Amino acid sequence: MTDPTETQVLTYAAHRAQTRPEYLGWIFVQYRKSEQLTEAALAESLATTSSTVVRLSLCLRPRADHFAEDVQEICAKFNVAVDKLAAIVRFVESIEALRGNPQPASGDAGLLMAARSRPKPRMGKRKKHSDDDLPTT
Amino acid sequence: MSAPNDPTQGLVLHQRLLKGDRTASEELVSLILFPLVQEVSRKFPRVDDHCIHDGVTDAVLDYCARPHQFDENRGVPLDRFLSIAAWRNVANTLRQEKRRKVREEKAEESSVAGLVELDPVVGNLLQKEEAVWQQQQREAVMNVLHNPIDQEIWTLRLQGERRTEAFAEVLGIQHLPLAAQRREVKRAKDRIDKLLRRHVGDQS
Repeated sequence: MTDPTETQVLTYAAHRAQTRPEYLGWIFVQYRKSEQLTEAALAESLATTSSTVVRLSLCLRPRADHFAEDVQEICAKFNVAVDKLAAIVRFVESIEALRGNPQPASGDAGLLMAARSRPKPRMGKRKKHSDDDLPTT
Repeated sequence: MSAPNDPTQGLVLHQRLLKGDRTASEELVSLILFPLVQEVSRKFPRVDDHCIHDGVTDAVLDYCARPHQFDENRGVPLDRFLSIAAWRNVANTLRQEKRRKVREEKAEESSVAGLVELDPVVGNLLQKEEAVWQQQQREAVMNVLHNPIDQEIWTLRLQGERRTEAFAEVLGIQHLPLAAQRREVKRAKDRIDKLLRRHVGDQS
């Protein structure tokens, strides 16, 4: 067989990342399944190219407790609209929460799960981030 | 990164991963994966590329998801750490495959050959019984696998076929890149295995 090219190796890795909930690739494949989108259609909905989607797939998914910050960091690097990526991640997280599937460990539990278990905030304390903080591009 | 220009590049990415940088994984994969695949392929020259790619990719993706598993203070560079992890993944896969084959061969020998030696007549009866049982199993499998493509894939596997090309031809995906072909073939095989486990049991 012929030697794979660097691009093929990366594409393969991105597909492998689709099976790992820690990666954006997993988020994308869940979204595509749910919305019945092709890879090209996903790229289109993110207003980017398929090769950028491959690279995005290899990024770790945003942490629940740094959601806005993480999404902005990813979008800034790949020149993707923050609101579009955030909406996709949130959409998949909500589906997962409804299915009752646990989110990846290491403090990345989804906001919906956190919303159920978080104790009532004390008077005078304000939360640091919310989706409403996300700027749109 | 098996041959990165700057040896500190790996450590910088490691620090970024530890700090929770979400894009560092993409940079590390882009930097290290290709040279690592080549390096591990050289260590396992006769091993299927699919197995090498899985082992290397899993090692890098595992590490990026849990960067704390690498301790920079132990004096092992990150590229060496990942190379060892990839090598171990491939070696484990090969070991599991070997064990599986040995188990299958032993099961086959003990179920037929051992008893046949007792008496030729008994042997014939057992062979007939075995043939009937196999036929029943085959029918049961065919009842579960309604899709003719699945049936063909299952038959190929029974015949001992292992080449991706053969399965890709059945699936009609020869036009796809090899990596995609492997992925699709594996997916088809896994789906069939799952169906059979659910409806027929492990004997098939």
